[in-house]
Amino acid sequence: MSPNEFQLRAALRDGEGDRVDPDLVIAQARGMQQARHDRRVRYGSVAAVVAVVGGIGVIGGITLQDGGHAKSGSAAGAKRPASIHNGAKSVPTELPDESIAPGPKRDARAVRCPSTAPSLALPGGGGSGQFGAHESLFSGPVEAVKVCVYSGDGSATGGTPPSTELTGQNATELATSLDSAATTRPQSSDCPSQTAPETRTLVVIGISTAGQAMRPVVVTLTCPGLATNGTAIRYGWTPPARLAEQLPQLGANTGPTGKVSGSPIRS
Amino acid sequence: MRDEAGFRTFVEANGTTLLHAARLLTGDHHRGEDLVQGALTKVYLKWDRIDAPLAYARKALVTGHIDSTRRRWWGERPTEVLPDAPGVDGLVASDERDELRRLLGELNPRERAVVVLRYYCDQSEQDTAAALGIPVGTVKSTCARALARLRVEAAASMGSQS
Repeated sequence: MSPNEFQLRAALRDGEGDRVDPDLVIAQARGMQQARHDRRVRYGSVAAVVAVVGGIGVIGGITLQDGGHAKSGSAAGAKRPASIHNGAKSVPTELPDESIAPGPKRDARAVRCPSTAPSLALPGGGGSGQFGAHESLFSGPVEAVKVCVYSGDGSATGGTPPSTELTGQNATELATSLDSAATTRPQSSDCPSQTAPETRTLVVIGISTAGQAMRPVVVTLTCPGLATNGTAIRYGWTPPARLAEQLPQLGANTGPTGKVSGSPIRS
Repeated sequence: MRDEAGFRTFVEANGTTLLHAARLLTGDHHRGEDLVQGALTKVYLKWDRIDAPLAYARKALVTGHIDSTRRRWWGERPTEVLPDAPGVDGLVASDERDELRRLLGELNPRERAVVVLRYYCDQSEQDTAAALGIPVGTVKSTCARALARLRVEAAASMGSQS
């Protein structure tokens, strides 16, 4: 057989006649519509929940970040803090606004020392490599610095810590020496097994060339010495010899004394 | 609001033709019903938005058929035991028409679609090309190739019977 067009058409038409039930089609289409609608509602609900949770997370993150800046004592005016804790939460203490907050141009003498040394929680527990840890301790060139001296626990005898103001080259030298200190934590073996019980905490408040007080830099002179403004960290700082003379409050406590706690006193 | 009355009228007027075309395309009674059901469902869902429902239904039919013949990673897997091949409506071809229908099932999906649209649905080459989404020249060449294969196969079949 060699089919011609007529035969082909006839063969194709053979057997037709069954009808299609439109109700079945409509029922199936409605089922598909319903399933599609349910799927959209389900995905929409999930998307809404994700959006809400994400929004809460973002708002919470921003709030925490703002709180974190305030807690770490930003140049805009931190109002809390005590002594330095490695990763521990700060204990809020009173810090006079005018001691560190920016304001009209002032000299170092006009800056008041806080009654207690600010407590700055070190980023990442004070470990190396934290974001901003290698930055300068001061937000810019300093024209003057006020150095407030506290006991090791950050308190001041009589409520008012002794302080010294440095200006000009002395201030710059102090700031430079702080910034030049080591940015990595020294090995524990670098410190004597027992350090002197007498320690000092310094709060160094830089005054910019515009007369604005900068974030306070808290310096502990125990081994390893630690200096931080809440973000940047330096280790093992000792004051330059020339400046040590101008900082009589530091006394001989800039390093280990060699005296061992509990040992007989050698005279 | 969807015009259900209009859709019912459309199905009653064209459902038989579409169902038979679907059976010719698939070569199987039940798969043809499934195919036309799916195509008409698509027509129903877009009923208010399509101007030429019959052309849309034919296009949905042939594209649905060609899609169903494509191998998918989640689809059929090779097997050592061959399943029963579907005959034409499950019946053994006994005369020339049945023989032609059987041979039609041996064409590839696109050739079969071209033959069904051209010689069963009486579509022009342009309409067939539009329904399949291929150039008119491809329709012509595919149709000629399909008819040639049908002639050769039919001649061979007749020769073997005599």
